[in-house]
Amino acid sequence: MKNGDAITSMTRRQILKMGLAASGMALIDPARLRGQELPLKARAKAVIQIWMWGGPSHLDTFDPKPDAGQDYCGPLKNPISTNIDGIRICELLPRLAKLADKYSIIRSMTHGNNAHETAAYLVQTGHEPGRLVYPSMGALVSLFKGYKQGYKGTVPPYIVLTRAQGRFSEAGFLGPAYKPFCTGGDPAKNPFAVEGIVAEGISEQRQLARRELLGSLDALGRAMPGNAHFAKFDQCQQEAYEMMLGQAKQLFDLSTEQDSVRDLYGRNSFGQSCLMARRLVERGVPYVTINYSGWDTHKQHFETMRRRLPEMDAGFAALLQDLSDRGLLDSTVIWWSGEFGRTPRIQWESPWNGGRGHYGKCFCAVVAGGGFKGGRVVGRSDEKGLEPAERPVKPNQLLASICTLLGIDPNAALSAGKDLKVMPLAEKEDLLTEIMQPR
Amino acid sequence: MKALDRQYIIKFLAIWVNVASVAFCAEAQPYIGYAYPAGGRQGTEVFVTVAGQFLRTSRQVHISGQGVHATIIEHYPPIVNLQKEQRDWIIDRIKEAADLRRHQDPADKTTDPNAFASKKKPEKLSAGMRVPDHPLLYGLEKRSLRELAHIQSVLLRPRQKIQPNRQIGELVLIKLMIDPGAQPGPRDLRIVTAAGLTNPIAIQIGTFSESLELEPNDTEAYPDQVLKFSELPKEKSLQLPVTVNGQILPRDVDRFRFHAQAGEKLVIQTSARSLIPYLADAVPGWFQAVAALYDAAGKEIAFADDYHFDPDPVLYYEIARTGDYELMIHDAVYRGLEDFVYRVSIGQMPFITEMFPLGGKLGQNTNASVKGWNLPADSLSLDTSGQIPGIRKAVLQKDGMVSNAMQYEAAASPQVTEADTHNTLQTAQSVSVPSIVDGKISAAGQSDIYRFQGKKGEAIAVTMMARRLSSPLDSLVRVMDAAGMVIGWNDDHSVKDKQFLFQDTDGLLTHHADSILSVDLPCDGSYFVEVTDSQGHGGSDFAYRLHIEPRTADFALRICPSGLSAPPGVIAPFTVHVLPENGFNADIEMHVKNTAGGFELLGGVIPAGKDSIRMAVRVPAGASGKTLSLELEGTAKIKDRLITRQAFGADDKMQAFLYRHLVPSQEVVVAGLDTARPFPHIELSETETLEIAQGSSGQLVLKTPARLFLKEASFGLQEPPEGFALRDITPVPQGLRLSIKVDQKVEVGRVENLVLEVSKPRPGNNKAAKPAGGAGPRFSAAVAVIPVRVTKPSPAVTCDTASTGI
Repeated sequence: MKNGDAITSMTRRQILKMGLAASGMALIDPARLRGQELPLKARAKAVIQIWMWGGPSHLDTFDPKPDAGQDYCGPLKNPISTNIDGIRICELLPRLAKLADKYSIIRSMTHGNNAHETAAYLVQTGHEPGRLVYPSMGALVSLFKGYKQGYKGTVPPYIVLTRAQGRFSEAGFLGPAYKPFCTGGDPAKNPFAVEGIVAEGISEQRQLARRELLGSLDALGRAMPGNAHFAKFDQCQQEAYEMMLGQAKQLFDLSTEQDSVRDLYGRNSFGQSCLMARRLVERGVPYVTINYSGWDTHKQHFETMRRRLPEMDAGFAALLQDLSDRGLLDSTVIWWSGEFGRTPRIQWESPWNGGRGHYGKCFCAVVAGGGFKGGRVVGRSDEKGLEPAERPVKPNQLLASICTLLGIDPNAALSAGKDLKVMPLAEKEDLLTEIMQPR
Repeated sequence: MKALDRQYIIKFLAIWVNVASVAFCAEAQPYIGYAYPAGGRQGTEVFVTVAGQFLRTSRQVHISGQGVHATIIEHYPPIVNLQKEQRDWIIDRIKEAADLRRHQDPADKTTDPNAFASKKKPEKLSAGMRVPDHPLLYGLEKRSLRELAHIQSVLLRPRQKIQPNRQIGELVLIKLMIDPGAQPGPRDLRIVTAAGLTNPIAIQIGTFSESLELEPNDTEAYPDQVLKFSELPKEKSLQLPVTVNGQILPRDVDRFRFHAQAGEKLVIQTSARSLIPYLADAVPGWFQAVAALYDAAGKEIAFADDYHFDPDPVLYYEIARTGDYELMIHDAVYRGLEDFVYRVSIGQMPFITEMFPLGGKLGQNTNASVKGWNLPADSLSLDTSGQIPGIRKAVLQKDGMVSNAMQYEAAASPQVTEADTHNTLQTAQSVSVPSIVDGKISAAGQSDIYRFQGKKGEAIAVTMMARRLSSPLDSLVRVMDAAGMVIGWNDDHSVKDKQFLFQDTDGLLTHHADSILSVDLPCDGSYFVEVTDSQGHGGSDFAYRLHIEPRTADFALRICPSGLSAPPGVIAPFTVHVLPENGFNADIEMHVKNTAGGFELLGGVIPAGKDSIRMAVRVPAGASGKTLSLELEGTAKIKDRLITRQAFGADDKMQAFLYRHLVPSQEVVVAGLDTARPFPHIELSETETLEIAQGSSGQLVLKTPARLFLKEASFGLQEPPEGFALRDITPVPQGLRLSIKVDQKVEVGRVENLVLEVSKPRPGNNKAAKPAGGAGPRFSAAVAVIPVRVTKPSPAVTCDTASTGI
């Protein structure tokens, strides 16, 4: 119990009401936002979020410090030049090095928290923990770009590939209607067994036979034709089967892609998830998260970097190039980040033996497409990656910039009659206009 | 690190070549993860396997206290994953030994406790593949069938259950020799290697006969390979009293059968967290043992997963029927690893469950009343002799058995015992200031209220001592004025820095439940102090000691790490943590208490306001190959009185990837490392504090004796605080001139002790000393402590031109 806890002015009844309102209808009519003057042109239609679950080392990815000494850079001390003069990245990212003109690196991200859950919440929602649980970016986009705003896709508007992260990346007080659909399964396997849509070992014929059997048992429905509740139920069931047997099933069938394309992305879960993300945004899904876990490298850090960075390099680079080739990069924001970075000073001692711990004071993010410029670096960390030295950027600033590019006003009200905004910025905080395409 | 410029070839004494014989290296700090078994009985010899890292050059064992010694038998490198050929070899050897045993001793009655001691050189299986080298593989022919089954289970675990951990991969087999008169209780065990002293690991000296668990001891055995579980002789029931030693591996459940007589009042006490209090890489951050007792029918009759706030479970059960009983132990969430080591004692030993009062006045005889199980008496004499206040421990003994240690406080202020009824303002018990009130929250929801008279402006400190004295009370303390208005309150009090290092006098507590607060009295009159349990609990064991005293600054000191190593003549650096109380803010002068040891202290002044600072001791001549006790004290002036406090050893331990604690050790030990020749005396040209302007550099000279050729030497500051860096080194006639830069951001007035170290590559290819991804092995040695004060930059001076002028 802390001395002098602050007490908010909202009552539980008010908070519950908000949740109920959100589940039944939009808390705000985003249509009210149309016609509002936004400072920059809304270019993006979709977001692909590469969530580096566990917290990737900033020094060993996009902010190398070869001059900081052995205790900081370890064996990865020879960063490589990119196709943009003056920008160097980790030596294990050669394909991304050739595409630096397509993305920008933010090297001064900061929030100061070193706990996984709190830091993930900060970065995913842009808000500090408190009495309210705010929605993640994906849920916000689902609110503003989803069904109630005319989205007609065969799959939900917020998709997670493939494993859910849990309550720190979900809908918060918006309610379960804005939770993500997690595919489960593994896109690198054949078939990609998507939860509720694709089941391994069950043919379409068998699915139809099961449906027929289910229908033959529906005596109550037959006895009450025209009942409004049953009609609604039937409609939901129909939509579900359409997902299972119709376009959604085809959408998740990666075997229709050319082998050369699949090879380019990498025949692993991450690479194929990147390919799946491209297919989803191609079909109009507004928000896709790729949960890419395994970056919490307290131990065996450099062994893991050597094994996983090439995999990340291939998938991320293929995604950038593929979207660009298909003319989709301009309308798709790609956002790469974890919940924090990792300790710049290597922990040589036992039990870490050359590991890196959590580090929320300074880390990096990468953005591309959807109105973000490429070939830029925002901010700077100090000579050892310990602190932001220039232009510190908080998570809400990054998310507000993404919102703006999507045409969502960060200052729009998120709840009718209450002082809750989509992604408010404090007095000295601003959008990342230096890397945002002007009107 | 700064390398010497090629054009300046510096020649040092041949001693630098001798540094080759000193295998100490900052990146290869030897480490112990666990010891198993973690102790033994008085009057016995025990073979203990110590697991850790960088232990290849282990030379001797140091154990705290008297009456316990140990010798090194052998070092074993890590076994990661066994290849098929190696597994087949092990299976064949176990099969041979089992067949021989069945032939020679069908009843499987005998076993040789010295089976460990037979050594043989590992043979080659095929080109490039040796047999695995593990202590359990020696003397197989002397092992019982159950021991062979155990060895099979441990070494041939299914691959998915093996979690290679480099930090506990190396094994050192030691022989522990415990005198019959050795004091029972905990000891610190350390190993001295050529590279230095390890961290301490806890072992326990017990009074019961000891037993080692033998796998499989659960119905869900590991897959059989050679010995079928059903073919093994039935495991004999344990004879009480006994202490069983075990290890919990992943998903492991250990079961032990024992025979008990009706009427026996058994205490079953598990030590798990008390052996290894913090695991840096586990959540929860320790082995969370769970214990359950079953009768012969398999019915659970008792269960515990903790004892009050202590995660180590204690069971008490009065045996109703004579017969067999079974004890089960596992981790609360079924984790396991080799360092999930435990000891569980089963017997009718005395166990104190409550004590009152929880302390006494210094110099005054104090007898506390005690209650519990199997106690020989209902009172316990508390030693309050001497003049140093603090927390002490006391035990009861019965028939050679020793009870759990009870913590109590010896303090200077007058003691008062709570009156019977005083739970309203009107009936509040009057106490004077200063007073220490011995009280209890006897029932759930109860509150105790005390009244004292105060004057306007008086600063009063109200300090609860309960949790720190093992009381289950989770106090909530309020101070009220005469009208009953709360003017100050506190629930829990803990201090931690930005890096989550908990800075308190009890590094083993994770819930700092004792309330501590300070109030400035607004006016003359009556004031009240109310004590309750913040969770609404209470009971006869919810005792406390409430200090109501004038706020008096005080401090405590911790030396970290608690084990230091260096060759004679070389300095061994450490950090002194200052734990201030009640606004302490004065300079502290440190000095060596045991001056006969010949230690020289460097950097021994802690300026006011600093909560930690680096210092060093120079290891005395003649200390080569020895371990010495170091006693340091600190003296400060508080209100015209000189107060001296002992500096206790502690080690900075991480819990669950985030929190860190200063865990107390039994002593501070200095190991004098062997060298072929004496190390030269290197010192600074000036011993005064180096003053460096903010944003500038300061210079000083390191005096070195006559020189020989030196290449690849690098100098640097060891773990420098942020903003301080070694900028340049240039040779001068007296030795080396060092230039130290202070960043613009460092505040004026800041004082630090900077530790200068030198390192150079070590010849050879010692993989054991090289952490993964690290640079090749290097020698490093601390050579000087440089006191620095940051001053205000002079307006006329631009950055980086300040110089002390040599």
